[in-house]
Amino acid sequence: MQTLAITLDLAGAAIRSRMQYRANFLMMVAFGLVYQTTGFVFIWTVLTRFESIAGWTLGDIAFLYGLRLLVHGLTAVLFGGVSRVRWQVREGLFDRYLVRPLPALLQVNTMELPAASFGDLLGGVTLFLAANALVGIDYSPLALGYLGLAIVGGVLIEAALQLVIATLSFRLIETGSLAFFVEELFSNFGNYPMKIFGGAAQAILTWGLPVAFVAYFPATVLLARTDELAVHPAVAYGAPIVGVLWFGAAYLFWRRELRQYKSAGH
Amino acid sequence: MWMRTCITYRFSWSLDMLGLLLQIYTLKMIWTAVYAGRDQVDGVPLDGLIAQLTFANLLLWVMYPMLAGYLEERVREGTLALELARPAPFLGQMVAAQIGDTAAGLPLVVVALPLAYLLGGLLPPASPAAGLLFAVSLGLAYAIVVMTGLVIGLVSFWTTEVGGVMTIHAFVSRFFAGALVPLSFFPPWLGTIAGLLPFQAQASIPLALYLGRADGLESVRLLATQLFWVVALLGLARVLWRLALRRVVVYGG
Repeated sequence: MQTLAITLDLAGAAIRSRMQYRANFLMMVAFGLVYQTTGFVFIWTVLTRFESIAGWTLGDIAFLYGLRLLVHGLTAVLFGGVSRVRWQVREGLFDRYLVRPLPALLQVNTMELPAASFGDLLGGVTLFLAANALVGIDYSPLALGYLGLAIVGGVLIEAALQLVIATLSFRLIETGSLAFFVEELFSNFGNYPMKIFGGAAQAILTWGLPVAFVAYFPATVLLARTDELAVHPAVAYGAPIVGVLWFGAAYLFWRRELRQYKSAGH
Repeated sequence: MWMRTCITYRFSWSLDMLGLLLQIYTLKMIWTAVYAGRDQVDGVPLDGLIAQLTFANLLLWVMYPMLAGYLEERVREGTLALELARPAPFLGQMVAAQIGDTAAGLPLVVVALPLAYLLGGLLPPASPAAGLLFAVSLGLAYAIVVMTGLVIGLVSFWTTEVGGVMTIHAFVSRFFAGALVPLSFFPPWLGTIAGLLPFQAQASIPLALYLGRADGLESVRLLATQLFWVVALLGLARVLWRLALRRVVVYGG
């Protein structure tokens, strides 16, 4: 309980410190918004000329793309600090987390408010809502509940991958390009109907890297398209559980390596 | 010297290249799905389209204008003062750094080309003449990319930060250079905008010549368009530079 209170206090302080530079904050939000939605311009241009991609209309793809962006934005807002661990380790700033009683991960994520991430989130929410107007899904309480769980699961998956890379930075010097590469993988393959990439790619992006579980599987469930999947529909329905498993494993890895952490220069 | 600096970060480079190949593969799969079994749409065959997109992404990757970032760094850190004092002209130093950076990337192209062929698709030039025109056009395209980078970098004298602009530029230039969707598939109004921007001259024009999509007179017009942009951007960079030099005094105190 006390942990929660302290975490919220720290997050509040981060927000207040960010708001001291309000114009800069708004500019970063606008940047995040523009940057994240530019990718969709590509798909939109293709679909003004062609009706559909592998049976997915503009609305369907916007739904998938928006859901992925929403998850990505939420991850960046809640776990944005994780991606800064690598330079904090290199600069020797990481050590201070270890002498304080609050779990290091909570301190990392409440240190600074990642302004651009709010733009990502805003872009995701906007695109997702617009897509919902286009596809007209009839939300039952069950579907709404699944959507909520799927978003949580997606956030946990993306956070788990970032956490693993942050943990690797305890031992490797430069993990920036690795982090960037994994993000590329998620946005390259996670934003489009995965069946167009072929069976082998689909298998790797399901059982190797859990890209398919972030938005593609949940989108096929909500758009009633699970019959196009290469896996059993039950796998798609179980997407939120996969998030919990991946994050659990990533957190154990982080805790184990944290105990063996040696400050930079050793 | 910059060339050596860049080669040191081989791991970063190879992941960067892997990212490029993934993008090429993604584009190929998306467009294959869009064509849905048709051999051609509006006279554009699928293999020609994929070759164009593969080449365009490779070109823009090799020619990436790092110098915008170099310039920004020097303005922010203040090391600019030192380089201004050197006998070689400052902008010339920046362009030299860029050329070194590109040269460092060339060995990677040798690795990237066969992989890009496998994951995307490539075609030989339409004719020897087309290959020659392409070589000329590519030189002009490189000049345009470098000038664009210079202009973006010079903006940092006013904003001290161009990271955001560069990131957005990376997408905008790929999009309007026709590296994601060929310009002929743009809606007419968007195509008009693309025609007025310098980005088409960075990849779309050299590749139209390479693939033999332009006849005699048209190819002259395309080269002239490129030449226009080289001159126009060079002029813009010079004007910005003169204005920027006045500001340096302000920062120097």
